[in-house]
Amino acid sequence: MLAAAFLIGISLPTAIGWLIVRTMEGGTPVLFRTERWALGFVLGTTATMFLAFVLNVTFGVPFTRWGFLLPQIIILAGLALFQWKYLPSASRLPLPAPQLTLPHFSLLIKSLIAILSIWFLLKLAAGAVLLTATPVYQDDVFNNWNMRGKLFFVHQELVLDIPLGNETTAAEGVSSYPPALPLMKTFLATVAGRWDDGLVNSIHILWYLATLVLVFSLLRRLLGAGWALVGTYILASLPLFLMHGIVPYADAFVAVHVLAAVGYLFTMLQLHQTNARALPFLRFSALATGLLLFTKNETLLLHLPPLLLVLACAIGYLRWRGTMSAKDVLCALAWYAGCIAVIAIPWLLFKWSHGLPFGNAKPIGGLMLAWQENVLLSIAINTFLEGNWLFLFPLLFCLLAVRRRRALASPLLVCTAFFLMVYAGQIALFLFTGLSTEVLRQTGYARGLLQIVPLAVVIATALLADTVDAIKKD
Amino acid sequence: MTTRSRTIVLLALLLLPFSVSAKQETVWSFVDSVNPPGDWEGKGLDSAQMTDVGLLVQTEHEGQLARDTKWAHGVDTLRVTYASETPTTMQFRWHARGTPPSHMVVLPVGLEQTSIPLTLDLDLTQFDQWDRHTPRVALAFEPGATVVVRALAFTGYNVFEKARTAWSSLWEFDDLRAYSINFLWGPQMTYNPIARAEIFRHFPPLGNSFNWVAYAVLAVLLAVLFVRYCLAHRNMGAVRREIAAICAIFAVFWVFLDVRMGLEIMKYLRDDYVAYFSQPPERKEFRDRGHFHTFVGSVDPLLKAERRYVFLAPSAWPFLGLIRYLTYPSLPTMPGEGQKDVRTWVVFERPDIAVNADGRLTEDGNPISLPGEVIHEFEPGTFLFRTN
Repeated sequence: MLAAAFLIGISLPTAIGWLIVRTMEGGTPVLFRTERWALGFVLGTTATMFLAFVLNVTFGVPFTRWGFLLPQIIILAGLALFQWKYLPSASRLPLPAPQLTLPHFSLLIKSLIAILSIWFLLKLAAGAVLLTATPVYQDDVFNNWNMRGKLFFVHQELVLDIPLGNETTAAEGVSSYPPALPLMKTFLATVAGRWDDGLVNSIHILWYLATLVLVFSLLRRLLGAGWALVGTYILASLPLFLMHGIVPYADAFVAVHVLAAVGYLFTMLQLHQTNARALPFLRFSALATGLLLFTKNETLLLHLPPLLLVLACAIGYLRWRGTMSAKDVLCALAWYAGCIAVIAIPWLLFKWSHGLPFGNAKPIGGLMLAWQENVLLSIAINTFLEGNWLFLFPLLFCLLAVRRRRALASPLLVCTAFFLMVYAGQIALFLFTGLSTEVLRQTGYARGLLQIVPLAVVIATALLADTVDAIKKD
Repeated sequence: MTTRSRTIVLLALLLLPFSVSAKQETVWSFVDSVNPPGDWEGKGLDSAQMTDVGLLVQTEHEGQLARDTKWAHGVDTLRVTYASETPTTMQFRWHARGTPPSHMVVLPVGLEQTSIPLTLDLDLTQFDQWDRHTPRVALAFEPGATVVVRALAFTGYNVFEKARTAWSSLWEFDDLRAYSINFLWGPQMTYNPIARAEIFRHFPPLGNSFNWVAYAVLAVLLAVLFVRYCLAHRNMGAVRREIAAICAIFAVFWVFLDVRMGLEIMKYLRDDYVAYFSQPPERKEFRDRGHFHTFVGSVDPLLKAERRYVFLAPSAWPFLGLIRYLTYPSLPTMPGEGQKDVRTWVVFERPDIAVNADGRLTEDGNPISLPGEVIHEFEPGTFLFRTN
């Protein structure tokens, strides 16, 4: 029963997401098949939960099995009908859809890939058991994400007051977080007809796997399958990122949206100079940017402004180069404005009307600016000396220094600039405000970094490939 | 003899002193009442006498026993073998060279109440003030102490033993804890067996991050490459091969850490299997939450009919938030809040809460509930109580 609930609960949003993505591609499929499913799953789950939220707060549609399923079935049917009527079938596509082909590796490389793949699967299996078969353990699981999901499940509506405050664990204020993630848990539980921790937590490992698929696909398109495997291994080997795949927190969920929003903008810029198939990527980025705002609070203040800045620069550059027409520019801006407005306006109006704070469960208005001691030391320890990231950040920073021209004077700038702005923004908050405790106690710094770590991997892999090419040429 | 052979022989000769310098230990045994170990100076103690079972210290006043060390080797760890009539705190004191002569560094050490001799292992290297060649040490006792000190063993480790322990330390793993979602300590290097056994019992852990080794190796290799490239004007072909070698070493470090950290994830699962999955319900323990989840699982059906219940636990965190989540929509009340209307009391690991002759729950002997009865007792101090 639980397995059936899981399959139904995952399939419907994924199918909707797949159809949305496929519709956005239009007559020009640009995604790998697995990538389309992964992206469809990510965008579909968040979009359908946004739909459930809007229907609940505007029309009072309850969070019941049919309250979730009926709108999804209607949307699914509508999208399928649209696709059947207006989109060409695969046999009549103007360009062949990209297929995933792996290059011929030597036996040594094949063996290495096999060993590392088996090792990854072992870790993943262990993590899946820990995620789905052990009782809830971490604070934010039972005070926030799962607690709110259970509240919605029990009351069948968007409840903002958690009945008992827990002063020690600061549960107060968690209602200000967007409800996408808890709602997905509520949805799975309503399909099953009961609350089961294993079932509602199981979705987290899918977000983790979707991130790996998207990183592989982005790099595959940019650098080829060999480097895509390297980049995917780098991400899959990061211990703290795996922890976030097997513990039901929201940061990996944010990370995959950030990756889609920035990664596809980067792909668009990369392709637009040579390839007419670039514009669909911009639409994926626009939708991911809108949905990103419905994942966690910090996305509005930390992620959206730098994303809009790099978007403006990218589109401005293409227009200046003359590779993007004025019509395409307007169309692109309309996509972003539309996606952001559709998601942000209802959500922010809801927050404002209910007096919910805009910070991460804490108001941001009262932050005093003052230099905070020992923050840099704590950041250095967490980033370079603990087991969280292996050697990703020393590698990344060395590559950024050595290959700065490639990092800053190529389409990769989209990723690099976004990463550096968000990272610098986070560090500035920690260095000059009372949020420094998040670093000194190591409660928030790494999780903020985790949200942009897939992008860091994309940048590091691209620069690594570039470095190897440069050495070969010398 | 070729250059390579000469180098190997030279290296072997250079390393010979290390191999002959094995672990060194100085044991001061007090069991031999005829020949006490060294000249001890007593100060302030009521009584300190040699007996067949060791040095018996009995005192109602604070005092100490001190002596010069005269060790022939450096010391990293101390093992104390003792018995004590009561739980007490002993101080291990030492003089660090370069500080004023009367200055002693104080390390308080908790002693358990025991009639059977126990050993207490101390890693002294974790203290910045520790002097491996301290000229003077002392044992100080607090008023009311009755302690038998059987032996003090001071051990020093040579560089090979330290390297071996550092390597084996890398395979010591942390437990899965509440903080593991925020950071993972990663492999730590300690240099003696006592520190190795205690790495992750300390916060932050003992030892140094293994990453330092990787950074040091890579920095040296890159520096050598840079010097050879700049000074020797080597051709790019040769440099390319050396860069490839350095990249390969970096990749080896990466995969090594991946394996090490992956094994830690496996170890989390193994721990849960041993303590939780494989145990019968009454013996299931879940990480540092002990029997909590099993207990709540056993009382949850009894709480379903209750809108609210009083919850008493050793601490609010994490149990209050957890039980709220686990039993929702039944809700725990905060201790001391709205208990009059509530009939059900959930008590977890509070042996100080008991039922008196009137059938009331008592805390430190004071009644805190109306009369009732224990509906379900999980273990002493952990039960569900319902008022009449």
